[in-house]
Amino acid sequence: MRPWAAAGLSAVFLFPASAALAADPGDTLALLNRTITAAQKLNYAGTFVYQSGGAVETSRIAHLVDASREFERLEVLDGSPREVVRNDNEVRCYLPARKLVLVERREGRRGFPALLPASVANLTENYALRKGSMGRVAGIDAQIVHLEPRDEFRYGHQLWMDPASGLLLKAIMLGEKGDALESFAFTQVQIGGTIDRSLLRSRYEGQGGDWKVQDPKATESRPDEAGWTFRNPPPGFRKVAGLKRSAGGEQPETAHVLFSDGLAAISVFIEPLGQRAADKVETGTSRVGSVGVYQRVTSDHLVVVLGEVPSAALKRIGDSVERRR
Amino acid sequence: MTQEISAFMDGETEATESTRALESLRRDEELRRTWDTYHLVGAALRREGDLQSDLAPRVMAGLRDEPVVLAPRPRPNPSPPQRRAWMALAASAAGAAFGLWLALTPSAPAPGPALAARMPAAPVAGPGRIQEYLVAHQTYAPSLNPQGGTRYIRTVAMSEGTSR
Repeated sequence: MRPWAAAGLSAVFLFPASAALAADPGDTLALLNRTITAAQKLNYAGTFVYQSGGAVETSRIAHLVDASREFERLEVLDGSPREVVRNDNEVRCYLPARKLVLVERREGRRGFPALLPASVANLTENYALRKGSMGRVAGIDAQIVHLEPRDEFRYGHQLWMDPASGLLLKAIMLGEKGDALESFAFTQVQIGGTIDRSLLRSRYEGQGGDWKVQDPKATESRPDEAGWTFRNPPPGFRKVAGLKRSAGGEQPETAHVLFSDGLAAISVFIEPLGQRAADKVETGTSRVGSVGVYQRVTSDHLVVVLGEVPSAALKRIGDSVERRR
Repeated sequence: MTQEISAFMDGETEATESTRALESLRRDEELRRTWDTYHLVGAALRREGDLQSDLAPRVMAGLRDEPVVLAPRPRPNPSPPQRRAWMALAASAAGAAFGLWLALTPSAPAPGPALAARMPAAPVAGPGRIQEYLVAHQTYAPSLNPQGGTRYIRTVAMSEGTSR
């Protein structure tokens, strides 16, 4: 063994604490891990400001966990009073201006907690973690953590976390040039304690009549069974789920395959073109706020790729879709 | 502002500027006429036959019904830029039926027939489809997201226009 290596090794063994400090990512990772758990296990209620593409909206959120179930309600306070209500694994989006309810059910909780450690490790392959200074959000002293992307297929993130509870208080998603693509920040938040149950009840509950309910059925399928292959997904993105969606009746099935790099997710939806003429479908990318959308046609199917990632990543995954022979 | 509108048409604006330009268009009638004029001039320059002068009402109908969504960034290898910006608004004008306004950039410069023919003829992903897909995306995205429930804001944010 070379002398300098030996010296280095003995330094690590002699001063494990300082070595751990130097190798800060472990510490930061633990903090990030706590934040992820906190988002699901904590009771909290507050008001936050969401900013995307130059538009700003204020919303109210309440989150409650009892013995076994998780409840959540988000209400937009500006403009038309849209709501997202989660009752454990069922999510309902109320869009009053269109008198539309979008329902989505999530079967099981496969992603948590078993997959967590592996996923977090996956995360450090794709992002450089750095503990930043202390900041202050909604009157709470917060630890800032920077996640810098290791390549051009993902965005950077800046997170403000409450060191006491682990709750995420503020987050900014950063574009290629360090510009803020999207931000969310609590302006007021109550962490723990009693959450008023009325905060979790939708104002649209029980309002039937002329509201349209869109309740597609999604069943999990092995991603490989979906009949489609992905030759060339962006580095670091792995298939994490495969689903079959059906709106019922005559509606054809849509395949939904989900990819993740440990933090960002990309969804690929593949639906039959049906009556639509292939040459009428424009291939291209667009953005809906911070979410990118890419679509193209292949083998009489429309491929819609979306996620909070740069267009390069969406395009790469979308272009690599091929029908399995 | 007219200068910003012109830049926006040419696809030369940054994201925040585009949103501001759209907001101004939404509010200012004079500006909408300017917008029309610019397009008429553009069409005339490209010697396109079927000149349309009633773009504004339809564009505004689109803006009212659709959320404020950014026009796509210009691509490195563009078709004539004013056409792409026009496409973005035309998609909305034609009520391209997305719950969210998808302004698509064509991948290859198409031959230039009359303006009307350049409008996307049919909704691509069905009405409300993109929004449905967004909800599904947020619901099934791995629990690793440290943002918890606040991430759902993306599915409803700016989806019904904040000006009502």
